[in-house]
Amino acid sequence: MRNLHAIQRCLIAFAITALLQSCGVGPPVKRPLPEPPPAPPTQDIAREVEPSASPVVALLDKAQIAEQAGRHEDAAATLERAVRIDPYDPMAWQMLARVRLAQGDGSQAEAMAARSNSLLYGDEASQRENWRIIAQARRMRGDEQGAREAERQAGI
Amino acid sequence: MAKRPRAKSTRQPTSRRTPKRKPSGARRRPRFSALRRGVFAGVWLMALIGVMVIMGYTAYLDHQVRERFEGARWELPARVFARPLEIFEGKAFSADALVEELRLLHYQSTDNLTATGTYRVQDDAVTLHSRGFPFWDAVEPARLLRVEFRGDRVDGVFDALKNTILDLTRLEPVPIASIYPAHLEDRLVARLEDVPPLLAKTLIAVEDRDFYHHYGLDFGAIARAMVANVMAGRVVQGGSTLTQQLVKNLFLTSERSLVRKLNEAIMAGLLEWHYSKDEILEAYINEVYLGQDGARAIHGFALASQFYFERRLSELRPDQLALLVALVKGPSYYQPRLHPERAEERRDLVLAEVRDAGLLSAAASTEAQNRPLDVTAKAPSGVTPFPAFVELMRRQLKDQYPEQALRTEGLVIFTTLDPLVQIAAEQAVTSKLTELEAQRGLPANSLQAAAVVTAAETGEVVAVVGGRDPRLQGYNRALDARRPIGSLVKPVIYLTALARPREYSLASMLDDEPLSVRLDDQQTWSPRNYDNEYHGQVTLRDALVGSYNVSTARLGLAVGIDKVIGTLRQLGFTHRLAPYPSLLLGALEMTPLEVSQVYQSLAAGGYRTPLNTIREVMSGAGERLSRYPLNIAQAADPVSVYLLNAALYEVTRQGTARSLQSLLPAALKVAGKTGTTNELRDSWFAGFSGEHLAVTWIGRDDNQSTGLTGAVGALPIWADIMGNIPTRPLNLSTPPDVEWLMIDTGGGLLADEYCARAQWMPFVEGSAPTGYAPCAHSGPVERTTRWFHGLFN
Repeated sequence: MRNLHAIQRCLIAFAITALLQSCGVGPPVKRPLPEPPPAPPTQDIAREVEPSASPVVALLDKAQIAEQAGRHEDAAATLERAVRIDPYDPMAWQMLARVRLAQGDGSQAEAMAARSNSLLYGDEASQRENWRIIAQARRMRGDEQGAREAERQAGI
Repeated sequence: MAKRPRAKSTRQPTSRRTPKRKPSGARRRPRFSALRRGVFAGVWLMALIGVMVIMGYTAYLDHQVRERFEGARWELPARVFARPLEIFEGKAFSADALVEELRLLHYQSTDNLTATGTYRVQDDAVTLHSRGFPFWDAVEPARLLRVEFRGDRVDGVFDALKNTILDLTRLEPVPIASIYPAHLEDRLVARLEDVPPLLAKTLIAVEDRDFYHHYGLDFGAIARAMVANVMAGRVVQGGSTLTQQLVKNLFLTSERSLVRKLNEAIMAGLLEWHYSKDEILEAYINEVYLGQDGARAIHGFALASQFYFERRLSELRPDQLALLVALVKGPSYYQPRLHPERAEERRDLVLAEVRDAGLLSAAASTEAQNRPLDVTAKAPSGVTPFPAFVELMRRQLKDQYPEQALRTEGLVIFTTLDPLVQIAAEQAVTSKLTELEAQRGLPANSLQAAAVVTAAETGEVVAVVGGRDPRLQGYNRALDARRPIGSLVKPVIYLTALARPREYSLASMLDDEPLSVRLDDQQTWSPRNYDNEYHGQVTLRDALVGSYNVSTARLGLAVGIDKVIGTLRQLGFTHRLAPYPSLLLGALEMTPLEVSQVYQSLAAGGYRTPLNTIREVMSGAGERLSRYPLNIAQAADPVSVYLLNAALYEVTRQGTARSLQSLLPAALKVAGKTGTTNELRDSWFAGFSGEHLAVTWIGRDDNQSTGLTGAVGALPIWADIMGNIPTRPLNLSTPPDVEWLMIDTGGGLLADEYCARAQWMPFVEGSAPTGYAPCAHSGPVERTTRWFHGLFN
């Protein structure tokens, strides 16, 4: 009984498939496929992976030392040099945002942290850090509501 | 300046003392004695007044000497530098490009790398002895560098002496301009410790043997000169010390009079009294006049070294130093480029004196004498080779530094110019214009062009070409030619629409059928497509890729002209605009630089950065004066800009700029837009890679038709620039909330591989069409599959 039921279902399925094909809905058997459209650019333009990020890393280290010594302008100049070398490095933008924050420039800090976020894919910890910077920048400008919204994004 | 503890004072003229008379005599001849007393008193008074006048005059000269010597001694031109070349492993940069940079820095190709400013190419590596440079943030030391290449990429950078890997290094920047004082005295100031000791010693041996022993005047030398002159019957030898020569050049005119000679002597004495020998020598080395370049006077040995040899003073050989010292006697008479025999003869004489003074061995002296003069064939021009860029820089600098400061304070200005990109852009403009005129039978030199290249992310201007003759200072079309931009405005309209993902996506259908708009003045506006054809229903993406006017105009009217103007303003265009519909087809005027500013915001993923030409300004003494920091502002939603840029990339693959596919290397992905204006007056192309944005324009100065569309005129120049500079491909990494789907362009619905007119398009999550196109099998087949699945389970 159970086998019969299965055979029945197979027959029905076959019949329907045959019906669909006869209506021209199913995959054509002989008709060649049209020329496929050019692949989307994401497939052939992968984010260029630098053979080595060492120059940027070296500059971030140098900037960190300057920043810790309170030499904000030196740190900023060094980080801008890093951004010039690899403008797609989210960490350089993030550090620059932090330096701008320390310099009291909230709007630049926010814009640069947002730029960093737009270059981060999947690194949630760094994204949260950017939101923290944005929250502080907004609070510095007196935008308490915006700051709370940013903190929510930062998971605070 | 330190005062010399020398116990020598200005000598006061001593009047002969009259012997004292006995008082008895006065009593004997009272009347005569009274007269005599009166005369004596008079003489005393006169003498006293004389002494006071001389003292006063000396004090006046003293004041002059000290003020000039201790203040800003010279008006110094501002020095303008290009960006320094950064070298690091992985950089897209070929060995040829490095050699080109070294050529601009006047490095010499040699096997022996002992001197700075030399290099050697070997297989896939370039070894060079860098000169080092005091940058804003740190001093880059001079060192032996080995740069290895693999193909067109830097494979490693090493300190060749220590054999260590360097993460990053930078060469000294190429000087690109000087801004001269009004009197056109050009001068490079060197510190004595940076001057080769042999130069100072040679100078002293030849010009003033007793320099370290005299007090400003050398009576022995004067006597020797007098004898020589009397013997010759004319002036053949001067007895002036270096101090006197310095005084003459610094304080006095060249007139020959006794008063001047007297002033010279007093001032020389004063100079020696106040300042050390080294200070005087250093001043002399920087003051001395050593040549002429048109109206520009070449002063100081450091500049003369650049002027005659294009080398740093520290890099000169003894024979070259000797030639510079030889020139002191008469820079025009012994001018080595014009009078090589005279110059060589005088140089050899100097070398003989150097040998006699024991500064060089006989062998070394002979070897030096046997060398050719070795001056560069052409004098390096004092006029900037890049006037268009410098003009833009000066406009930006004007707010902070007045003209006078630039001309006199010896400022050091670090700019963003990339000389390699600049040269590539100039060559592209010059060669393509000539080519186009020849191809199209246009009169020679009828076309003009401009180009601006910037760093896509940071907004740094790396090249500016203001016309087809890039050396010509004059009408700078890149900054001042304000022309209608045609279809270059279209991306702004599409961005305005794409910023509303609930209403528009790249798959939205637009109507490309005839359109008539009744204007306020009762006129009718009926835009037409370039090919005079209408395309029916088209996707938003195809309307942009094909640069269709009618559908674009409809889109612009639908989103609102004022909103389009708002987007344009956000992107960085600051002029006021009236909201006429014709604006939607580019009836608004911009300069190439203004177009660059707008497209910059697209190239940087929606972040606006003011275009900038200056990084830092330092004083001549190395003091940090100002920095021009990177500033960004979010101009548009980065995801909307991503969708737009994906479509602009398709413009270069399938659209009006598809010819780029054959003009650029396959790996170099770019995005851009063509622009053409009425009657083909202006031909534009604006586009970007992942690293550079470039805007090119072709037009005529009389604003007549060029006969060129954007694709035929400006595009080939653009491609020539992009194809010849190291740049990285467009970055279109998909943001997390974007998905790529295949769309049937016939109806804007989902497609699959069975659809003949399918295209991939990116969508903001939730904005993609949900229905399947009739051509797609995915819909029904998927449903069938699901049904099958249910059937068997």
